[in-house]
Amino acid sequence: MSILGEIQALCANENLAYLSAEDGPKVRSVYAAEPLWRILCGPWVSDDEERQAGTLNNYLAHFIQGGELIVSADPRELVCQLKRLEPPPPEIWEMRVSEPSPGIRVFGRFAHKDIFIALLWEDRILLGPFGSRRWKYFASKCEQDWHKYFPRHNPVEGRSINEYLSNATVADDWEWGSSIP
Amino acid sequence: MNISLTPPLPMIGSGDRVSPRALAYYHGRFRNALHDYVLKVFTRQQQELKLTRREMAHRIGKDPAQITKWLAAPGNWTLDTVSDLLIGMGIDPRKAIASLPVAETVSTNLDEHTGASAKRERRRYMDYGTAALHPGPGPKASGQSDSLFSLLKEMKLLDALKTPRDLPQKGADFTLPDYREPSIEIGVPTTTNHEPVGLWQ
Repeated sequence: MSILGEIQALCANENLAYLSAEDGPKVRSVYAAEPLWRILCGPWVSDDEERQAGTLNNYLAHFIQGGELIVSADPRELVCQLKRLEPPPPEIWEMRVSEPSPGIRVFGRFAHKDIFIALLWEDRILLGPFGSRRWKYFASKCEQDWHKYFPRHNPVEGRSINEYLSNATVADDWEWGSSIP
Repeated sequence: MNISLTPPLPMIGSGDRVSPRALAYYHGRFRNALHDYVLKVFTRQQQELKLTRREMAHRIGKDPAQITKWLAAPGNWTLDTVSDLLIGMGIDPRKAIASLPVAETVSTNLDEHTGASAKRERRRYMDYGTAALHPGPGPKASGQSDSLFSLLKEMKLLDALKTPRDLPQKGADFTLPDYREPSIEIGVPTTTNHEPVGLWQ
C-alpha cells in the first residue's frame, strides 16, 4: 500500500487525525498523531494553555492554507518557522510556534510533498538548551513513532525545499528562491 | 478522524465570551494576513524597483538584520512595525488602510432577537421620527452603511416615503407606519477568509 493509502487507513482507524482549516484554501495537509490531540482539542488546564492552542491552530492553518513559510535546513537557525533538525535521526522537522514566547515545538516528518505528519509536541521551555538530551529524546521518539505508524515507508528525503513544500522560502542567508544546500 | 483548527466565534447577542483559543487564533490570522501583504509588496518592489532589504533598512534607519527578522515572521510586529515596513517600501500606511472596504460582521445572532433588543430597535426607530435627517446608529445589517436611506430601507420606511423630498424636517409632525421587526440578512462571515478582503487588490 502507498503511504497515502496508509495515511487514509490510519485516519479511518483513528490513529491519525486529519486537520482542517475551513477559513481558507487547502494547499498542504497535516495529520496529527495522538499526542497532539489534547493541545489541539482540549481540555486545557489554563487560559494560557488555551491561548497556546489557538496560536498552534493558527500556525497549522497557515501551513495548510499554503501560507508563506520561512524554512531552514540549519538546525541553529532562529529566523524561521520550520526547520530540519540535525541528524541522527534524519528527516526530523520542527515546527516553531514561538508565540507567545517561548512557545512550543511540534516534531514530525514529511510523508509526501506538502503532507506533514505531526507526531509530538513539547513546550520550548521544557526542551532546554538546543541540543540537550531532551531534544535528542524527542528526535529519537519521533523516529520511533514514525516507524510505528509507517513501518514500510521512509519519510521524504529531499535535496531542495521544493521536494518538501510549495511556497516556502529558505531562511539560510535568506534569499528568495534559494534551496537547501 | 477530523480536527477542525478554526475555532467558532460565538454569535453576537448570545452573551458568550470569545474563547482564549479563538482570540489567539485570530490574532495569528490577522498577523499572518498583514505579513503576507507586506511580503507581497516587498516582492513586487524587489522585482520592479530593485528594492533591497539594505536600502529599506537605510530608509527607515534600521539594521538590515532587523528587516530580515521582521520579514521572516510577524511574531513581534506592532502597528509601528507595519507602518515602518510600508514606509520603507514607499507606501503611505494610511492609504493602504483607506483602500480597505468595511468588513462584514463575522457572526450575528439575529435569530435570537430578544424582546429587549427589539425594544431598543423600536426606540431607535421612534427617534428617527423626530430626527429623520440626523440618523444615529440604527439596526445595521452587515456591510450596510449608516446613510439615512439605507437605514430607512432597512426599516421598511422607504415605501412610505415616496421621494426624498417627502422626508420630514427635524421637529415636524411625522406619522410612523405600523412597526414591523426589521428584516436583516445575516452576513456571510467573509472576514475569516484567508485573504483579507481587498488588502492586495
